[in-house]
Amino acid sequence: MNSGSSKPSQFSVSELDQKARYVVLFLVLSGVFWLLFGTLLALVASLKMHLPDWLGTAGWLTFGRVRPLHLNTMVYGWASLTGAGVALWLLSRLLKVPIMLRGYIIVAGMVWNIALLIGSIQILAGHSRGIEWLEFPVSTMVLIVLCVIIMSASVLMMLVMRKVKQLYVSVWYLIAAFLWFPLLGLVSSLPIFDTPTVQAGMNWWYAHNALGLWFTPVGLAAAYYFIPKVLGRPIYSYGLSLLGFWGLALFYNWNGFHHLIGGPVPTWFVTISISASVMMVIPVVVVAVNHHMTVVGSFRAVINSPTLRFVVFAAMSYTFVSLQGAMQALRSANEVIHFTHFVVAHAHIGMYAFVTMMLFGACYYIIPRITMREWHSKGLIKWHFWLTAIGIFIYTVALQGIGVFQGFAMINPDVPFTDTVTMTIPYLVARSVSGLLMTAGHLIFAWLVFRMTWRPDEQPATPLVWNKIREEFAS
Amino acid sequence: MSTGALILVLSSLLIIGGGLVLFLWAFFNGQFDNIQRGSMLPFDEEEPAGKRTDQIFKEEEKEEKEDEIEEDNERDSTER
Amino acid sequence: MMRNTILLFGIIATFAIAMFGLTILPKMFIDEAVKEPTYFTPFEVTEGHRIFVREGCIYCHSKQVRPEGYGADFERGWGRASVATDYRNLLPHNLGTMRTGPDLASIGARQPGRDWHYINLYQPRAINEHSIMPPFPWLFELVSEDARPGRDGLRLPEQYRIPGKKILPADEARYLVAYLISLDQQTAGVD
Repeated sequence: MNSGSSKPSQFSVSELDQKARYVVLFLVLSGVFWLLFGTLLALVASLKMHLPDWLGTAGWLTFGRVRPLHLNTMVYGWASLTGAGVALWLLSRLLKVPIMLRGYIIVAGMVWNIALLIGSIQILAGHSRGIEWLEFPVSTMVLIVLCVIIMSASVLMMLVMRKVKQLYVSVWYLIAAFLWFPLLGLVSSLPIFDTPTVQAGMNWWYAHNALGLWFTPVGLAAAYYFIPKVLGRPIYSYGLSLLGFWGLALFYNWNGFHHLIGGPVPTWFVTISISASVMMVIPVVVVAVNHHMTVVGSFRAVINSPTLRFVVFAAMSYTFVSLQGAMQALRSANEVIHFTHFVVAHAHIGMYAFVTMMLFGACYYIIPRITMREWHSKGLIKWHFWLTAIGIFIYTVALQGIGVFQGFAMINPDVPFTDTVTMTIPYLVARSVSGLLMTAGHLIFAWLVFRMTWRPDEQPATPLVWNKIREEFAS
Repeated sequence: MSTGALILVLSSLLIIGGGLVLFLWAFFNGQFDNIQRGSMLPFDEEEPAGKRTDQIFKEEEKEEKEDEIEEDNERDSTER
Repeated sequence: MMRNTILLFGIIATFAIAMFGLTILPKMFIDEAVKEPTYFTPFEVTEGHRIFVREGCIYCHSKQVRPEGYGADFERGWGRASVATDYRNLLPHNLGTMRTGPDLASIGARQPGRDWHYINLYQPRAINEHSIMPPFPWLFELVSEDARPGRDGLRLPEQYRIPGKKILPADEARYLVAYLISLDQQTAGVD
């Protein structure tokens, strides 16, 4: 399998990319499939918010099933599969060894996809586990975690066999992510949380950490690699970047309970989470300063690179969403915005404007290098960027704007509750419009990625992807 | 509640202690010996620092030279 | 090798401490504080809870009341602040994070009538024209007007009636409503 291990010498970047080719492409293509599926669910859910009787007789398409499935397919399908592909590619380049256990990872990817499919049918059929971020049945979750464990094994092998002594900051983030996520998944699947309030604690500990200890490290690792790489300019302060990593590791995993402020859980515990949430300002500001100081003065180079357009947008969103998160955790702010659309938009800045945009950027860099082809159309890339960037901007402004008013109306007992609903409807319509823009962007992205693997007009230099994957298996 | 507070303090100390141990490891292992070298890890002979990649929206060669000079000047001024 | 081992140890230790702090510690404390009473929960209520989860009600209705003075939950008549024992050990937990619709922790006290709930579930706009709640017609049976004599169909406004037919709550609707009516936090908490 690891034909590379017979070669004692250093691998060139292009050799590493060639070895990463089919594994990464398989994971990214799977991710893009789930992106499109999740986008469709998002549109249905968004439209149902202001057209409640639309498809109203179909039980399997009711809002309460479509909305959790949207979250689960985006999180465990698109962001996790594509994120894993990007992470493995980054590690291969930074540790200067080929991705290990490639055949096993492709099998794991297939199992993962099947698990997602089964889980999706289960949720639509009404067999959701009923815990936010963990709606997939435990069987699906356990399968996904086992697949991640195979990838973690590959990552550890790469770490041991690495050809460089010093670990780049991206590597720290990625290794941590590949250790944290399987643990999170396994702990959350244990049947030990047997009272409702304790389960609620586990729920938000898991959900917040899935973002903070899985998607955030992958996203930041990508930013720390692509910003210097594309600009040809080392990161402003390597020391600061390490400080940022340890800050995240120490503070992020205490944040979860701020989702339960005012709820039936011990107050002192919520207070720890609030303090930890505010402490997150330190690593966030460190990362923000570092990225800003690296990019500053190279605006033209950012514009000229499809990768950096997305990555810089995502890095700025990370700073914004994290600082906002620290503010939201304060009791006085939480009193207003808790239970409103503000938080929905906050979650989307995190998972979309940060994580998803970062993954788009990474894909624009990685796919041409592993397929040795150039993107089909530069114009379509620009369309993709502007559609998604404007889409998420409208989403944020509409929902966070009205979310504040909704929150103040809700804590004012003189305002009838119905008014807190009717006031949001124009903004829910705006959200659907922004959703259409993002959908158009995703279709363009899927088409561009698809065209990298399927070129009827061109004699392929290598066998088709699917044949090659079969070979990879056999090897 | 006082037991809770005690365990809270102990856990916090453990966390800080764990972080400290790791930091000390990284320090004595030499991860911080040469910070500048760490920042150079994404680069190699094939794609050295100073060489931009992925500039696929760049239209003309001439323009490229112009803004590299321009940016070099800007960079100098920011570093000073 | 040594440094890799320490690195792994550190990452896992950090994580384990957080896990201990955020899940196991509260478990110990809450378990101790609550002294789990034995609940007698009727079959209809546990089934209703299952349907509540299945239809994803929680994505729009929280089921936790904040203390008086923090938010306007109390002033809106949603009941006293929730305590751990209010949830009767029904899993999964239904605390919720969203109030697209009103909090349901005390809905049984605010709307004790079954017929109100049936109509609201069948067609929310028949109760409140501004509602954006989804309808749940699959919890109901549509039968011809003369079928099942003695059982009256839902008393819907004119525009939602179907000529020659009557709408009867199926078992699932009855379970769900039994669950909703059981939710009452107007009285003092157990602890």
